[in-house]
Amino acid sequence: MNKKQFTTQVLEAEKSLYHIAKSILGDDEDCADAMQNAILHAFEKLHTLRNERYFKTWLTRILINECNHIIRSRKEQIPYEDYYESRTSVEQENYSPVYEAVRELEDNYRMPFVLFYVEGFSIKEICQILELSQGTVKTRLYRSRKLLKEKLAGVYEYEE
Amino acid sequence: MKNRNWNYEFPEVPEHVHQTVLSTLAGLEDGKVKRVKRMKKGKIAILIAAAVAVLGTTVSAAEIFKWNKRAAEVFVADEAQQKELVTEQIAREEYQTISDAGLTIRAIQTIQDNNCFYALFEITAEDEGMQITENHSMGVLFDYQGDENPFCVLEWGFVGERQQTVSNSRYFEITGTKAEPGQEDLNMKIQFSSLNAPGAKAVDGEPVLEGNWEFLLNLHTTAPVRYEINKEYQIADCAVMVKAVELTPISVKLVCDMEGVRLLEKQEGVNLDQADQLSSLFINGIKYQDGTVVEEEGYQELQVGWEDDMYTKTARLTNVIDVEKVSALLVGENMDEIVFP
Repeated sequence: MNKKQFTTQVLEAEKSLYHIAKSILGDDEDCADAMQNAILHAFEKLHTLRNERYFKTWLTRILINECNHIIRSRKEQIPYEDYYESRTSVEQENYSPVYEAVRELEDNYRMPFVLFYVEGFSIKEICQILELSQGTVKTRLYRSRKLLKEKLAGVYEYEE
Repeated sequence: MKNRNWNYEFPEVPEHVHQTVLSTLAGLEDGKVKRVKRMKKGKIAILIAAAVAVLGTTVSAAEIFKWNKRAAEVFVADEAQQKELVTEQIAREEYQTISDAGLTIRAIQTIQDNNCFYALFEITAEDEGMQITENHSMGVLFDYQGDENPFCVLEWGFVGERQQTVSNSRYFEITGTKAEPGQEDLNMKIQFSSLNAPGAKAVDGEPVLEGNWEFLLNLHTTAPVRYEINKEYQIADCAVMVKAVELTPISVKLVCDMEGVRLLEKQEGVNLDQADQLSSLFINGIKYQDGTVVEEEGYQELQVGWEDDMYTKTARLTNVIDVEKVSALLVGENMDEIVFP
């Protein structure tokens, strides 16, 4: 994969990358940092990508690592309670009730849900990205559906 | 549940995040990684001036591939070429809109390379009864953020009435030719100060509306593909040594030895020192590797110059081209071929 192909594929994945970073970090400044670091890291390690078909899965894995790195570094700088508060109160924008509800899910449930339902990754791909077994991913998806159903009761006609 | 469009429920990519992605990609260099300094939000806020983003401050990756129809007409680019130029960061959609004094100015799109610059704006009067014609003008100032003015020619004006009917809204275009084709990024402030009534001849009329509409453009300049040729070609039956050709999808630079060019000058009976044009070196088309010929529709020469026995000319191409597939330049009436190695 050359630079041009890399650029095209990153731009095609941009929206998906942002959604994933946003789901983990909340704050847009942190999202931009994580996306930038992930792009640079991916380009640097491009020679390690064995099959270009899996570029998006591979890049997503790198992005999640960068997001986790940002969370860890923030926690080291400020007390966790303050950081959590800042994450949940960032940018008071008018997000959709569904997005708000997804954002309120615990990390363990939120990421499989976003990858599967929002970004359309397969269970197998999610296993690779999150380094989890199929059983764990399926259980977390089931649990996240149930939690969302409770959160969105009364907001929408909710269908399984 | 999977049938629900969950993606639609999630926020769009904010403009400043998108710009971070673009600048990061622009900073990548083959074989190595160059870490670019990411602008913080406050700086971005200044960059987008008092902008109100047209699409709710966001732009998605898919949306960046959609050119404005007018820009696509000016550069004759199909959808694949439009996408390519966005990826190459030659074309960029702008999302800056400023309203003041009953006039809204929207920066829509920029297209630029190392030779030329194009910016498209839309200017709309709140008073729907106001008719903005091709003969109206805008008071406008340009500032290059501490850099030297990169342009030797900069022109601006409303689009003609053959291209757009008269209403309270009209496209406004700025085109520029760079004095020294370089690869520096272009940082440019465009400050509109008035909408002027049609004036007599080339003189602007009296201001109809006065205000302050200030736009900041930070544009990446993509390097051209350069072919070192150093080969003699028969052009209009004269032996001309072609030294090099530089191509981007929107412009071309041709470098020849002056000795052969003087032969062409003599044969055509023109005088280059009196600014005559040399038609045998007009770039009238390009040829692709598969033999397809794309003829230029109206020659758009940007600059001609010579020094140190080297003749250089640049031209904007009337059709966007696929640089990697070009095999030859076609010059003059006879479409003489300058074949790339």
